[in-house]
Parts: sequence; C-alpha cells; structure tokens
Amino acid sequence: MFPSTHHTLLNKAIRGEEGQLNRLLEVFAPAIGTLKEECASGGREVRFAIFEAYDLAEDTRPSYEEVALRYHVPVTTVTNHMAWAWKELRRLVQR
Amino acid sequence: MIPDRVLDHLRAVVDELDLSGTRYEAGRMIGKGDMGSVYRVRDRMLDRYVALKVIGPVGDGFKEARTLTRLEHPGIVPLYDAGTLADGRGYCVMRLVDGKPLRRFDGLAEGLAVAGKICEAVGFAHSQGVIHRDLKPENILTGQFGQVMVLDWGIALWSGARGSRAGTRRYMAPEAEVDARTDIFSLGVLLEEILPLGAPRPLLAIAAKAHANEPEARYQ
Repeated sequence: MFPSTHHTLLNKAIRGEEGQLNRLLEVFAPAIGTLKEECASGGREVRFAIFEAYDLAEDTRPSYEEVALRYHVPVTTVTNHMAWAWKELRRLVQR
Repeated sequence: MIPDRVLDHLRAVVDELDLSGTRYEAGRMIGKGDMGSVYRVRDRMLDRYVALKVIGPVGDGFKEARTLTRLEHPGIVPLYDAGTLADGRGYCVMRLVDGKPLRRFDGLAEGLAVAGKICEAVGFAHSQGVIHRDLKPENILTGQFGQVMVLDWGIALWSGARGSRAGTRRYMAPEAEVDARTDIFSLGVLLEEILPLGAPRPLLAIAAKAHANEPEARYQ
C-alpha cells in the first residue's frame, strides 16, 4: 500500500468514512481493469496507455503535450483518446 | 490499491457534467458526496434555476428520486424531474433551496420553532416508512422566513429493508441495526446544537433522552 494512501485511509477511518472509501475503491478498481481488458482486446492499447499516463499518474500529472510526445501522437489525439476513456469509465462505473 | 489522489481525480472525471439532450444548462457544482454531486443548473424550458444531482457510482440508482416522490411535505425538498444523462448516469432534479445550514439560534423561541419543523418533516417521512439516516446541520436548510427544508435523502432506508449504520459519526446512533429511532438519535444531537446556550434544563433533558445510547431509552 502507498504510504500516503495508508495515512489518508487512517484519517478517513478515524472520521468514520472508511466504508465510503472502500466502496469507491470497489467501484473504480474493477472498472479500470475492465477498461484495460477491453482496450487490449480491441487493439486500443495506446488509448489505455494514455489514460494510464495521465489519469492514473501517482505523482505529478503530465501535461497533454508531454503525453503526446511520449506516445508520438498529436495533442488532439491525446484529448480524443482521453475523452473516449473517460466516457468508457463513466459507463463502466455505472454498470 | 489506487492512491487517494488518483481516486479523487477519477471521481472528478466521472462527475463531469454532460447535459446534452436534456432541458438543463450546465452550471456550477454546489455539493459533492459519495452518493453523487449536486449542480446549480438552469431549466431552459421553465427559465428557472434548479438543483440537479448526478447519481454517483456508489449511489443506488434512482432510489433517492423514488424516495422523494413518497415524501411530499413542506419541510422536504421536492423532486421536479429525473432522467438519464447522455453518458448513462442517472440524475434527479430538485428545488434549488435558498437557505443556510442549521446553526445554533440565539433565541429560544426561534430554535424551538425550527426544531419542531424538522421533527414534523422527519416524522412525516417515518409515517411513510422512510428513515433518513444522515440528519445533520448540512442536510437541513433554514430560509429567511423560518422555513425548514430537509435535504439529501440519498442513503435513506425504506421500512422493511435491512440497513446498517451510515451517515456522519457525530450524529450517528451507536446501534448496528437501523430503524426510526436512529433518526431520533440524530434529532436529539441536533436539538442540543441548535438550542441557545443556557437553554432550560427540561429541554436539554428532552434532547438527552432523544440521543440516549440505548434505542429503547429514546422516544419511540
């Protein structure tokens, strides 16, 4: 477990919010897993890679330009792929 | 494990509002919780501002909307509309209440009048078989004319359904099994908090009985 996560979890547990936090983790963790699987099976690995690079960044979130350079695509492709991934994520967490 | 920072970001992504295909115009977020986010939006058809709640990933579908349709009462925020956004998320539209969260009153009469209205609204919900489960100052707004509005029925429980403890720790009854007395506990804590300092002892005794640790010792 990430130390910062553990610290925050502890604080939330003290404030009585641990149940809500766990429910959020239960919703997002499988949704991300499904998104990854769907991207892999549909030949959309780059889309997931861009989503992972930007949205799952644990430290400083990279700029769109940095993500575009990393994956050798135009910035508009980054924004398009991210918009698609976000829409899919919303759909998956609603299931 | 997803770090909290990433989790917060993903929640913001999921909460982003797309109102295309609805009669509402996007506005600013005015509240956020695990059960959903609330926005102040404009109803283009009726040219008025309303509160639109997007049901979050943890929310229980349209349960809050269905609860509100059971609870037509002057002290309970009314439901105007419900539907599904383009991205598949559900939403419900309620009156935009212009009021302030509950606070301690300077005057005894004013405090008691507000407490009475809260109890009437919650009592009505109980008579309809609905337990709020999250009564706290932030979920009760008072208007400039003394009106009281109980909000946020997102984790309310219908009679017959089994439910566990939920809500905000300070106002949460200690028992594991929830029933109407769980709300009575919260009302007792709220009463103590809104009565003016130095309130008569018999009133404080009423509040203390309402939030007794044992459910059997509370008002039934």
